[in-house]
Amino acid sequence: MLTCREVTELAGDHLDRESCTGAGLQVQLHLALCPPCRLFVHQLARTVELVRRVEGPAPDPETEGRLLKAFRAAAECQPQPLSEPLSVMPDAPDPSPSSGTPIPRG
Amino acid sequence: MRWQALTTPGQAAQHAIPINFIGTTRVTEPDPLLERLLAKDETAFKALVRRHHGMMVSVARSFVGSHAIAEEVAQDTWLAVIDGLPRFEGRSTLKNWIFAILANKARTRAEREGRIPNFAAVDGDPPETVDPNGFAPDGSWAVPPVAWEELDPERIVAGRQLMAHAADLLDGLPAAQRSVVVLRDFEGLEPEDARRILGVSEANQRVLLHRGRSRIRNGLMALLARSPGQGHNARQRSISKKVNNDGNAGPRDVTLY
Ligand SMILES: [Zn+2]
Repeated sequence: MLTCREVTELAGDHLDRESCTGAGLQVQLHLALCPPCRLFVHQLARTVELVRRVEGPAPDPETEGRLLKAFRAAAECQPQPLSEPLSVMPDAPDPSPSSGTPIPRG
Repeated sequence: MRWQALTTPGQAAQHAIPINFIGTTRVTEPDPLLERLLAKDETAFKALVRRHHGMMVSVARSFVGSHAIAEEVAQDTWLAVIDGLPRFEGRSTLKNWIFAILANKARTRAEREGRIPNFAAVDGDPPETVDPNGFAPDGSWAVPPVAWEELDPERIVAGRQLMAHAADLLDGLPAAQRSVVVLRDFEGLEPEDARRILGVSEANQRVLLHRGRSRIRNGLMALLARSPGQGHNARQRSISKKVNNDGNAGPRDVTLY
């Protein structure tokens, strides 16, 4: 039988996915029987949702301006990076006639 | 002239130059944001920077220690992203790729600064012999959790949106916990991707994530316990931006589970 402490750790890690592993089933069994752990896991899930919606600190305007400038500059000086197939392609078939010589059959 | 957007799976895989990144998430659908970036859409790039920059600095800080250096690492990362975008295969998610570049740069920088970027030890995290959640030595609850009100992110508590408090609690986590929570919960990376980016073992990541989430939960708990009666009209208050500090406690909308 898992302890409450073990359950909170395991359940926390499997919050967003269905876990049907042996440990997952043990966790579910424990949760079914243990209201405090159920409450804890619920609160942890709410916490994760909140973190998901947090807004990270925005870059300062100077930094943002510099990055946008770099983005613009790259866009201007790399007009056509990959619209043509590369000349050296490891998996490209080699159409040269010399390698296409039929093997004599005997 | 438009850049050719190479987002069709298969086609992209054939023509793109392999670029070193780690990531296990397989992307099955074209990413509209990536297409806009490849089409030189500045608005898309600005949105990307605003969404991730702060958290990139936060993760880089876990490696390099100082905020100023972390800021440099994040900016260097953006330059590498700009440079590598046309060759980005789209085999992993954009976020994965960006954070993999960030971690590589941060690791290199940390080494140059004489720091050992070992995530198990980088923390200053005291080994927690007493679990923050209040467990007895036998693993049972010493202090069982108490039901709290539903967490409305826009709800105002102690003069600020709950979301802003959560951001502070996240920012205040010990370094390794912070990075794991940022990558897993804020950025939504898969466990295996986050683990490889940070260079932590699966077991360590699980513990770090659990402790980080628990600390944030405990912080929210303490916050909610200190501000009784502010839950009821949270939505109206957040819309009007008017902070109610008159202490006139309304009925609590307690939800029990
Ligand atoms: Zn329990």
